[in-house]
Order: sequence, then structure tokens, then C-alpha cells
Amino acid sequence: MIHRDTPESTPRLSRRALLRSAAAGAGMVAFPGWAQAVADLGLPGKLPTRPMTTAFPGKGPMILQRVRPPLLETPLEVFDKGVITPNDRFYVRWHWGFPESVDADAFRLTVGGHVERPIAFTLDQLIREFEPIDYVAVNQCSGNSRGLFQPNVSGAEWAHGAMGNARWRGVRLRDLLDRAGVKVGAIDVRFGGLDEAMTPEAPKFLKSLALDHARDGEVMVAYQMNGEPLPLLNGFPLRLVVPGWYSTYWVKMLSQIEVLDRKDDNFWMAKAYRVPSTPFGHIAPGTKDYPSEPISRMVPRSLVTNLREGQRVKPGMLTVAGIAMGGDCGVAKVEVSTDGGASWQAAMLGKDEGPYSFRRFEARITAPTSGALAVSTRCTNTKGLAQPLEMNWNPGGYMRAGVETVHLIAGDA
Amino acid sequence: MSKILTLSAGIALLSLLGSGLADAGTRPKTTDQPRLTSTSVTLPTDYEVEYPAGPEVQAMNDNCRACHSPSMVLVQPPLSQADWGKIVHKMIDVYKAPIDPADLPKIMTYLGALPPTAPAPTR
Repeated sequence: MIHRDTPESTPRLSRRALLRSAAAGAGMVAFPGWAQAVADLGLPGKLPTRPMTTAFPGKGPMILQRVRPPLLETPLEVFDKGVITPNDRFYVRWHWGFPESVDADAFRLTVGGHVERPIAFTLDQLIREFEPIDYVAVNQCSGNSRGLFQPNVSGAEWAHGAMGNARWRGVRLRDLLDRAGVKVGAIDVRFGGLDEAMTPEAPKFLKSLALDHARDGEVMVAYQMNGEPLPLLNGFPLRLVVPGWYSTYWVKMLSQIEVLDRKDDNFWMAKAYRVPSTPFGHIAPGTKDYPSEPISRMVPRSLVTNLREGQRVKPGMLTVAGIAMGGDCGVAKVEVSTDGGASWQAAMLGKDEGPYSFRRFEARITAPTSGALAVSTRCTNTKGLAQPLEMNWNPGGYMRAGVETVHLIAGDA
Repeated sequence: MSKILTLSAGIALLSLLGSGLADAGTRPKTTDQPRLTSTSVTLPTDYEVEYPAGPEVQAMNDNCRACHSPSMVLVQPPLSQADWGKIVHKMIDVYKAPIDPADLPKIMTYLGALPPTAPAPTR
């Protein structure tokens, strides 16, 4: 059994604040008092707008999805400025409450369970005693783009901005496990952070990786993000980095690592974050009784970032640019279609920042004199997996990765 | 002016040397040896925000604001009573939300009366 931190500052269920006088302002009904600048996310069949907010510490303008626990989305235009997502624009997603203060000297990362020597590392030890590693990797929420699912799926109604790409620096998880000495018979390695459920009986947020994955030399305990300490909202002081896998495994404020001699059957592995055991997790809406598995590897995606849905464009040469990701490997190619996928032209690829990074793409197309222009992009990764033309769907709203299309209007205004 | 320039150049040189020493024998050398210092923030809250008027809104305000913002409910797509029922029971059964059983039918009444979401404006 691993020590469970219960920081005093974690906001537990409390009604004290509810007794404050009501001060709901006018404006957007869903976010009273928060309406300032508004982002239109183009979500179909549901409220498409969200307030923009600058109220969160260490964050610039973000799309406000939820105040408590925070859900902050990165605006699409941030992805157009470069393949690295700045820390102050990096999306935020918490299930539970978490401490607003972390004492760097008192903090410990424990490694325990099925090991020879349980250890509690200080931050200083992690930085000084282990060889640092460093790479760029996309962190993408399992439910990124859920708000675009058709039929609708309930949950966090994100557009495409529940993802970001950063240079992570830290230590190999393998090195920490080896220091503790994993015992024969170990199966899974389970991770937990300083976040705590709102009620003590609710399931703490815990995620697991198979031992071989945990020891692959790539999975990282990161203490830096883009050359800086992690923003508290992104998991200061330590975050698990699982390159190529969805962010649900990238446990924030990582404070406990527990080696298990059994398959982890906790709620967050056995019940939540499960996808159909099919390519792209796709099933037809309404399908009953399908085999499922914990969500795992990411799949290829591509998004146009220099043109917005509904934008008017001039006739003639038009630059289409955006970002692509291979998922659990690099980007082999990105193609652009303006005829609904009947024909494709290859886009030029930008600098390769490593297999787990976003990759910039750019192509030139010809906009017609007038009328509708639909621009679709398709990424194929270095394993040969391509985005499907038909959008994938599942009842959890996970793994959206089909070909995306931006609809433009050509003609002189 | 030139003195200031010289001074800052000296500081720059010192920090270069410092980082070189700190990183000696390790790789990759992308940043200085990091220092993590205690961090504290104040997060915005919206505990005072109430649910919009509707039948049995008091049950929503009493039970469904402590753990999460009202917006989590209000931005959902149109959902059937069965779908809302699953969500509310997940809150109670899995997340152990201390919802007064007498309030459960009232919560369902409010959720069932939520207006269908207006279609997306054409900007």
C-alpha cells in the first residue's frame, strides 16, 4: 500500500463557499459572470460558444470549458504559430481537486509496492542523481474533439484544443524502478498524483502501464516542460510522460509509483477510459455488447490551422497549413484534398522534431472563382496507418482521428 | 553604458560556464540544471454561480455545485432522461456525491426541463 498524500489545500467537498451570496452576472447563461471575449468552437447540435479567460495563474487567453475542476482549452490559432505549444497556452484538464501550493523541499515521489527497496525521492535527488533525458511529445486528451462527435456524446465538450506539444525533460521511469528493484512477478506499474477525489470514498485517480512499457526507457518522469518547471496547472512539480499514448496516462503532480504483482483493476483502468477493441476505437452508433480495452496508443491526426471554418478566401492560389501527428510514431506524409477525398496532393512537411512531435505541413491549392471550397487533410504515419475518411465514433467520445475538413467560401467579398 | 555592457557580458559568460559545469558528463545539454522552487497559486472559483431558473432549481444548487461548476451540466448536448439518469447515478454510485435521495427526482426534473440547446450561430 502506497502512502496517500492528503494535502490540506486540496479542495475537498465543502459547502462553505456555497453559502456566499449569489452574484451571478448577466451574459452567457452557462458561465454567468465569465462572459468577456467569446470563442465560437463550431460544436454541432449543442452550445457552441465558450468564454475566453485569462483568470488562471500562469495561463494566457484560454477557452474556458469549466472553472472547477479546471478545463481550459487551447485556441486553435496557437497551433498555427509553431509546433511547440507555449506553457502559458497549454491546455488544462483535471478530474479532481488538487493543491494550490507545492513545497519543493517537502515533496516526495515514492516508489513502492512489489519492489526490493521502497524509496521516497526528493526533487533534488531526481535532478542530481539520474541522467536527464529530453524529447518533444504531443500530449492529447483522450476526449479531444469530443464536442464534434456526431451523434453527440456527453462529457467535456472539447473542440480540437485539448492537446499540446512540448519539449519534456526529466528522468527515465526505468531508472527509478531499477533503483527500487522491481521484484519478480511484477505485472503493472501504477501512478498517482497529489489530486484527491472530492469525497474520500470516491476512486482516487490512478493509471497503470504494463511493466515492460514502464521500463521501455522512453517513459519519463518530467520536471521540465519547454525549459521551465511545469506550470502548477499542468502538474508541477512532476508529470509522467508517456510518449505516443493518450494523456490520461500522463499523471500530473506525480507523487506515487506502485509496482503491482497483478493487473490493475482500479476504476480508472477497468471502467473508465475504455474504447472498443477495433481500429480507431470505431463502432457504429447504437452498437451493443462490443469488446473494449483501456485506451492506449494515439493514432494519426492532421488539422488545418491557418484557415477557419466558414472563412472567405480569394480566388486563386491558397496556402493550406497546419499540424499533423503520427500518434505513436512519426508522420510519413500529409495529403490535401479539395474534392472530398477523391484525389489527394502531398503537402510539404516542416522540420522533424522527433517521432512524437507535431509536424508542420503546408500545401498550395487553387481556390475557385466563387462557391464552396472544402479542404480535407489526411496524415499517414510511419507505420503506414492513415486517418480514415469516414469519421470514427464511440460512445465515450474518445480517439477522434478521422479526416477533418474545413469549409471555406471562395470569391471576392 | 559600456560599463553596463561589459558587466552583463561578464554575467552571461559566468552563467555559460556555470551551466557547462553543471551539465558536465550528462546529456543532452539543452538547459541549465533546473531548480524547482516551491510554487503557490490561487485558482479562480465560481462557487457563487447558481443554476439558471428552472423547476426544482434549488435541488441543483444544493447538490450539484460543490464538486463542479454548473457549466459542466449546462454545456452538455441535449440528453434523454435515461442519459441524464446514468450520469447522475454515476455521480452518486461511483463518485460518491452526497446527494440527498429526496432531491434525486427533483434533479431529474430540472435536467429534463433544460432547454434544447440553440443551434450554433453562423458567427
